[in-house]
Amino acid sequence: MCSKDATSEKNLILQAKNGDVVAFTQLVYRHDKQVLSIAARFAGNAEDAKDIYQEVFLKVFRGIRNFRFQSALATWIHRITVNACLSHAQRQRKISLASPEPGEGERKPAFEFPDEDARTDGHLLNQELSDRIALALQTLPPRQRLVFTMRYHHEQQLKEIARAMQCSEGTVKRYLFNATRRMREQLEDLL
Amino acid sequence: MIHSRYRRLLSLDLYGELTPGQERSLHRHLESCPECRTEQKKLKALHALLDTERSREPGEELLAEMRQELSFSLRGTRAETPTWDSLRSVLSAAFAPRLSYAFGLIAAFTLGGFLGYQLFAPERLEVSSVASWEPERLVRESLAGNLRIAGLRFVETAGSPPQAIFTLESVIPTRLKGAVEDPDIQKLLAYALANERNPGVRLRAVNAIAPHASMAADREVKAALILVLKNDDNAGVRSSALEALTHYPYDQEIRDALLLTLLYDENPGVRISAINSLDTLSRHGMTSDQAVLDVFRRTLQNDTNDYIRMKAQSVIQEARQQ
Repeated sequence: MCSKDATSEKNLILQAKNGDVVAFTQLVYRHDKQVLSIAARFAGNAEDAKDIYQEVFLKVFRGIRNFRFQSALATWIHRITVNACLSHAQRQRKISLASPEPGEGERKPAFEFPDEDARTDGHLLNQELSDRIALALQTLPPRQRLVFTMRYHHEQQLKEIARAMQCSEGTVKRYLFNATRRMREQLEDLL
Repeated sequence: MIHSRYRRLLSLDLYGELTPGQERSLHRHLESCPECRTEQKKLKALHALLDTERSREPGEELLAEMRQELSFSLRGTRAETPTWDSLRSVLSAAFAPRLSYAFGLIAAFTLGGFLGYQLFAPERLEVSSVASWEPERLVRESLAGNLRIAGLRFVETAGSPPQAIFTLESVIPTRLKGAVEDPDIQKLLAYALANERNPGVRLRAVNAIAPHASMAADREVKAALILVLKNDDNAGVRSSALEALTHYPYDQEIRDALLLTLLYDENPGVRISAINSLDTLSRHGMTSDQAVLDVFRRTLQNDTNDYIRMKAQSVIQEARQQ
């Protein structure tokens, strides 16, 4: 972010801290696309992505008045997103342990990203490929999935991810390495 | 052991996460290790495969849906206020003991002034939102296009002027209410008129402006009405804008807008309104110049509507007799 943007973001945060609805709206609109994108890839379906998105911005709304500028707003939002994703995965695990075989149609099976090639010959192939990749991603343990999503899809620096996940850079590297190895194994037949 | 170390480096290399030393060491190893070179090719193939999917993002529709649901969830949710401890620490850091008396005095005056204002100043505009903020700022932000007007309705109660209630699209549900004749409300109505996608909102806005148009006589409102008359897709909205413009003091801008409407509007109803208005003005001796007569002649020759041609002929004849 350039310094002019940073100043304008700081002003927006100060206004939002004072209850300014316009400023809060602008802050949400600046960051929510990335939050939704991470949530969608992490969760793998629209319903769960919605839950994560809601949880993140309700927390941001409740906590903005206590925001002390000790980190960038994006880092703070990423941290909230990471926590929301991980607690979501934990809840899912509890649910699946309680009822090991969920009924068909209870969840939307896959998250569909809009495809510019829709209705062309390549569409089905792309969709199939996309489903395979999404499925492979879902087999990763939550922390590996999160690191892989943030590094690969959102090109975040490892130190940023480490800050958001509140762990060391070395740990993030380990998650990334293991995630890449597992993805390779899952998609071996396509390589 | 050695391979497992280099495989880790290979993986991180593709993310550009190696130090220059690690990079050199890896490249030296790759030159002499066909097994790791194969592994590198596989990893590159994996990244190429993933790249086909990487740029895809959730669509705008889903994002809009999420924002709307968030707005709904925020109803009744309140932001946390800073804890007393953090407030106290901020205050004690900001004010030395001797300054605290001065601060107290200033605060008392400010609070007194604020309460006095709140108790005795008439409220022009009312805001309903879970967040507190100034209505004037909301008007400014809406006029700047930072907040979209999602809805507009009017409330009339006996003995008081009609009120316009704007619902504004933001993540926190917000409504702004004020008298239709209020200048700020008139500006918002004009903005809604020129920018709203919903023809129902535009029509309600223009109908609200019309009775107060001559009173407000605001340039921005008049410009919005002219813009709508020339460009709006909806004939009902254009017709109402024309009606509102007839309440304004007649001038060349309004004359030109009426003449353009007469020549080019595709709806005969709107053209009839335009020629009737021009006829009324001409009877008051206001539109009998050569440019106006030329338009009437072209209308007489080209318009497909019998009434409009007859009306144009009558105006031309009257002008000849004068």
